[in-house]
Amino acid sequence: MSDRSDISVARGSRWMAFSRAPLLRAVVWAAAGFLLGAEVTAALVSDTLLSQDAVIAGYALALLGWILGIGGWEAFVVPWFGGEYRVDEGTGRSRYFRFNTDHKVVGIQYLVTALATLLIAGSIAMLMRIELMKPGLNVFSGPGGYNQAVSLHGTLMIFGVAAVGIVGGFGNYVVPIMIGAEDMAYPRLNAVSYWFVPMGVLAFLAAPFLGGWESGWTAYPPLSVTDGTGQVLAVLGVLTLGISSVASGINLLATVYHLRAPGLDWRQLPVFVWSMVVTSVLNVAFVPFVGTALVLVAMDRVAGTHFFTKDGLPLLYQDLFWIFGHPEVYILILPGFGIVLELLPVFARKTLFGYKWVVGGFLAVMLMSMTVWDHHMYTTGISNARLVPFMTTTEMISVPTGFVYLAALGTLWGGRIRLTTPMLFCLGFLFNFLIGGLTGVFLADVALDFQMQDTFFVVAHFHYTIMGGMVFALIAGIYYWFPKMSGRMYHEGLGRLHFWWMFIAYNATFLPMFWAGVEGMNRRVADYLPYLQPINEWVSAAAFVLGASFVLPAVHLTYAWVRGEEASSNPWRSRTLEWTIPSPPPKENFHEPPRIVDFYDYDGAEDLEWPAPSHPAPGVPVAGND
Amino acid sequence: MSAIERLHPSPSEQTKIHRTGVWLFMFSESMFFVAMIKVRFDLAGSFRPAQLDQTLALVATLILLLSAVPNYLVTRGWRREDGGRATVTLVALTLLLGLAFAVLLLYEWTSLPVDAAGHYGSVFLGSLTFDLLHVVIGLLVFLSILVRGLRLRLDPHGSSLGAAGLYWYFVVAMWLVMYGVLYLA
Repeated sequence: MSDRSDISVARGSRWMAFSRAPLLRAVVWAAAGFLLGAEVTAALVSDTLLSQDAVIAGYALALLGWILGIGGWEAFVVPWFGGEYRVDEGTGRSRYFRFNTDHKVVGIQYLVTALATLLIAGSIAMLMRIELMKPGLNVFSGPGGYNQAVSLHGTLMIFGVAAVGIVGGFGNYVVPIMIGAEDMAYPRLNAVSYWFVPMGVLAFLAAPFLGGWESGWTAYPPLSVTDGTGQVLAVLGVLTLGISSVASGINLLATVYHLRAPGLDWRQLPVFVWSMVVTSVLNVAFVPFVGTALVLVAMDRVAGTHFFTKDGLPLLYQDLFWIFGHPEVYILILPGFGIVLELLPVFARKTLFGYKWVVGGFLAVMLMSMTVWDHHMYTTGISNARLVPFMTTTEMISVPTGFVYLAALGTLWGGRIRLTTPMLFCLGFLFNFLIGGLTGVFLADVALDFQMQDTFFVVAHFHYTIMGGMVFALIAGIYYWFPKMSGRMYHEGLGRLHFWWMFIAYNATFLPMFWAGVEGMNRRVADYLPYLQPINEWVSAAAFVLGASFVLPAVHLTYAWVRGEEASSNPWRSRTLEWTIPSPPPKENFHEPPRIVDFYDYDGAEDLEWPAPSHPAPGVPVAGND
Repeated sequence: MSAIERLHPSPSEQTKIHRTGVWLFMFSESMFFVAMIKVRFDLAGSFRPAQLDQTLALVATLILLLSAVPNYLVTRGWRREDGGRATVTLVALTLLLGLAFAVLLLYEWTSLPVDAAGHYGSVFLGSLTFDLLHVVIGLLVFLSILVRGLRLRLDPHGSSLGAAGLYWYFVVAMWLVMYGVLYLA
């Protein structure tokens, strides 16, 4: 967190030699760091090179080498001791493979990394569905193979996609422009927060080479203590992504607090910005709990302590994990609501319904999310005295969530709805989240949860909120901001085809899982009784269609990014500030002071013209705000 | 000041922005200790073994408390934003006292008077590890400031000096809490 006034692009020849291939240098330094740490540790404790002690020490130095190699050396170390800040941040496409402080570059780096991780983790899900087509198929080697796939899929999806996709991607790209700032509060911290992410994801992906891990994304002991060495890499990967989340949370909060354009009041902030504020508070406050829990697991493995094993308390881990874990699910879904509520007024051409109730709902969910964690632990044998209070708080949290949901419906009511691709994904979000949210109320109920815990009913429920909710919102955001980020337009017909393909295949996959769960299909088992085979065959077939639906946007959007039709600066006739500047925006975002208007005032008649002509609609000065 | 220049924060605004960041960071870090306090009382209740070296812990705590004095003098300029005396000597003094504390804590950590496999022993080793990590980070920051101070003139307005000082207060405060939780509860 140092001065941003002295940021300049290096032109000196001495630095060019180093900076030509920072990614290569980062890989070399990381490899050197790993070898150094692992060799020294192996020699000291006379162990093998890939023992867990050696892997921990090696990974720590590898991470340091990676961060310094990508540009941390020039960005932090050299200026600290009096040298000039000289990082070659690159131009054109090379910016994306470098240490770059432009929040728009960082946003796209996050987004592309999250999408690549989504495709990898999705492919693993396809393998899981192959295994589940029939009992006794055994496509994975060894008895733990299926659980390793489940663990890898879940961990990648939660920590590598859901937690960083919207917050890292759109949080970085859109928030500073929406509040009229020229960058984030700490641009260098921002650049470095991103570069933690690929390392964390690579740690997960490397784990199978050390035997993988079987304890899922939750890493419950005692299994996570007795599991193979791959578990250590999973722990280190989560810690790495945790550092990144806390850093970007601090950055977003400071940005919104300090860098709002003159005249932009908290009461006028776009709802997406509000959702980022609330999410960042949760990140900053609760990620340390999972950090503590995982460090203690690592100590049980290597330092001879017994926090969770022998006569330690395995439930203590679950407590710590879910104190983080339940706020975490709101870290995943609130940004999704932020995007959807931001888009609905644009495509319904109507003022956002109940702005104050939305913000109040976000804040209430933020506060209440820390009071519900025991609902993950009803069946673990916790004291009966804890059951009813946590059932009550869990069912109560659906009230503020309901405010937000009703605000979405109220915005649609009587609107002049445009069924563009982003709007279709928003409506898909509302449909899916309704199912995900309502089944959550079932699971909050203690008596019913004793029946449903660890069945596919739970699997279907959280996929309806995270994939049907968060991922649909992420895709809505991608189509919506695509013209802003790329300066080009995607093909509307292909976008709509993508929606219907994904929406139908998605529901065909996950809706039957509720029935499978009620019928007794358990989570985390590769085999099941034969009477469940027909429903599993159906789910697997639908899952393959769903998996295939990702090929279409991958090809389509890559093509559109390079060859698409040129987009106007405001194709949606949207009123938030990012649409008042050119597409793609210049590095400093604004050439003239942003005009603060009522961002959701869509009731004017001139908006009936659709699609918009290439000139942006003039802003109307703010008169009052709901 | 034209309106577009206001989008770019002035130096005094920069100081405020950095201060916000350090406070948010400290808030986040303090959650590690909240979690450790929960672990201590869940796992070991208020049990406290007799073989703990109370004298050593008290001496170490007093030394750490003492290090807050030069730290206060170093960071005075940053908090008032009106200049002040930030000298290499004071930084070195803070660093030395912090180092003395770290050595004593490290001695406890390595000699380990309690069984690490037991309830209290696990808590003791875990808490000490977390605390040592924070102390070592604080010391490294001060050390780098010292090296920087020998090469450059230390700027009392500089945010890095103030940030390091603020963080050191945090280290002192967190140890006071953990001292109470581990040795006095």
